[in-house]
Amino acid sequence: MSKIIFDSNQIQAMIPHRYPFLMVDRIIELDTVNKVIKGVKTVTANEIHFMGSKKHVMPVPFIIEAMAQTGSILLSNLEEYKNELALFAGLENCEVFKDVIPGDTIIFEMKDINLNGRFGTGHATASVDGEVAVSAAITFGLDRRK
Amino acid sequence: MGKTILDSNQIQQLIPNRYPMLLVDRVVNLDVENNEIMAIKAVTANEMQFIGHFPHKHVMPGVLTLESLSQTGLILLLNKEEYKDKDIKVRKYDKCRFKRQVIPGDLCNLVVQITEASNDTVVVMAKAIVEETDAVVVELTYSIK
Repeated sequence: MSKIIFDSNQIQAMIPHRYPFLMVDRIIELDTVNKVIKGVKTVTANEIHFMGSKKHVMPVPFIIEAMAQTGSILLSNLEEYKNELALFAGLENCEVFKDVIPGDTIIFEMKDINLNGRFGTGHATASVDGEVAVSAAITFGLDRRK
Repeated sequence: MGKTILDSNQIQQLIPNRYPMLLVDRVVNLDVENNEIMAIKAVTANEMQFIGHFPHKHVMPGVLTLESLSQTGLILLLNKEEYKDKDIKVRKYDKCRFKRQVIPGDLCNLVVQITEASNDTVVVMAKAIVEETDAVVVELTYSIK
């Protein structure tokens, strides 16, 4: 596996999300100049949301949330946004290509971040075994934090 | 509040979702002929997600409201004769806006209307409304097998 830039403890210092809503385990790539970030989440049957369905499939909204959290971690590493909290403002063209199941490792990539005043957009993908499972354009609004 | 058409036990008989992913409490209007449904999700601080979202500021995760809307749409589709035995999944989320925060104590009115339908795809317009204000709007595409 790729080298760890931030582990889950360091991630908790950057975003306010906590169990059972912390959806990124580690960051393996961070480019603050080009605004690209890659995060990782492993999926296990021992997670609370799998209690909620007969067939174990990671709920897609949680994958979307994880992509957004990955973007939020990137923002918290940009000097001008480190005191801001990014909140969900919109979602465009979010397509689901395959199911994510326990045992999978998801790689989230957020790139092409475009900031315009208090709002921004980014393109995100969630991939398993090199294949895109979910892709989306995510819009966020900034709120003073933390 | 309108009359209850389906309560949470009846909803569990229709859709496979269970705690902590059963995110519709009751159906108050089900108009199968006009392709429309209205349901309610009551939001309380005593729900699991608020442990972590966030410890010092409870905000209903927007993605869970999206899930409430997709489950409401699923209830509508499963009440239609042509889809009732099918495997139905959301394949696309589009044109989504999160317009206001949903917090504990709020009642979300979930309104879903079918806009396009064929044998293998259904598109719906879905809205979560709190106190007559749109909180979340989204266009959902279901694939049907």
